[in-house]
Amino acid sequence: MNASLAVLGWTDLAATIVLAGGLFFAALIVAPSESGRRWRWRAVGALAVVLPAEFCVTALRMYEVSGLHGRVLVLDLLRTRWGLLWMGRSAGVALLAAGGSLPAGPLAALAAAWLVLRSFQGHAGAHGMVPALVDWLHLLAAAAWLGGLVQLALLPRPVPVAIAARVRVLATVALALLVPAGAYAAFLHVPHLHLFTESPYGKTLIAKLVLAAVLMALGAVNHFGHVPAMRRGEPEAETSLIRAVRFEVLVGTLVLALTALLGVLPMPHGHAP
Amino acid sequence: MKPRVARAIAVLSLLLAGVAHGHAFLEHAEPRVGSTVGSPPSSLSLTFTEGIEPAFSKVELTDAGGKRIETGALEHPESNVLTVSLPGLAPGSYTVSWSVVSVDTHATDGHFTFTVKGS
Repeated sequence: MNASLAVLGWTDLAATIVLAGGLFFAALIVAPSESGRRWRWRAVGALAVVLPAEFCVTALRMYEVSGLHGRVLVLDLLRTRWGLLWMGRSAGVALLAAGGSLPAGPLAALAAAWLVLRSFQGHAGAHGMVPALVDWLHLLAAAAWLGGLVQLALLPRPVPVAIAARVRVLATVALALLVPAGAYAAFLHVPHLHLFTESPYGKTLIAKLVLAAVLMALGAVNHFGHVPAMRRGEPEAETSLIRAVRFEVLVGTLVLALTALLGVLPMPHGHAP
Repeated sequence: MKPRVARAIAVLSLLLAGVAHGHAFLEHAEPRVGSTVGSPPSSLSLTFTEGIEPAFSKVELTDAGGKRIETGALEHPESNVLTVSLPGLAPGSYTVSWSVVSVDTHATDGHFTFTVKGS
């Protein structure tokens, strides 16, 4: 059951980031390419499948622990905090899909607000208001960065220098939010250092941090190498940038897989009543 | 330590204060876990490390012979507290079995015992 939840969580997270990140890209960088818009629609389609599937798996888990079934189970699940947020997230996908004709700015603001619901639905939300809001900043930054890279990789070639430079600024701002928010979450969820190596949650978190470091190193190569080289007019720079961005998206996908796994693993706790 | 660093650590500590630990675990109970009480308690109160969903949670009480004791309905006075009223308990050892679902829908369970002292 946990494995299916992790796979659903991964699809959910990846689609959320492609959808919201694509809208941020449109508002902050440039209108996406035809292919970029198609990927946004694919993300909407994936969420339209994965959100009901998550509800069904969660209902099955609740049946297993409570014995409730049928209408009572569905209504009781919809009345929980998770259920209310699930309805909000589902309505948000419909709104974002229907609002395609809105200007990019309001649509991006709507996407940012929609991400709050996901943060309150998970582990961070169970911890309280501040952890959920910090998780939201983390998710917002991840969506802007990774979703932005997906759109950058899908732009028609050659990518103009000005666009690459704007993405560079966006990635830097996103990283400035991601690192402190991620550090806060790490200390929140793993309260003792030894639990990093002694619990499945801690070990998965270490693997995620290693991959996140690879992602940041690739970002640094783009920031300090490829984009300045494009500005200098070096002929191979744009090709190198896009190759690096594609690799970043691949590593980012693995980071999201580990993030989804963290969402279903019990967090380590160090006390007995 | 520089004042700015000290302030930053203080702010982080404040933000982390009251941290729960993911899935809902039992933080404390009344009667206390493993305790011996002088007189029969009128209710059982379980406090968890994070908010729980009462619709999918339950608390059961059994005596030393494994016989289930009928309790009052499950109450949820605070987001992380469950209580049940108890009938007059005879002296002896009792086991409390709990099964809860946290607000992020993760299920946990556990049990503990307490003893009611004979007069």
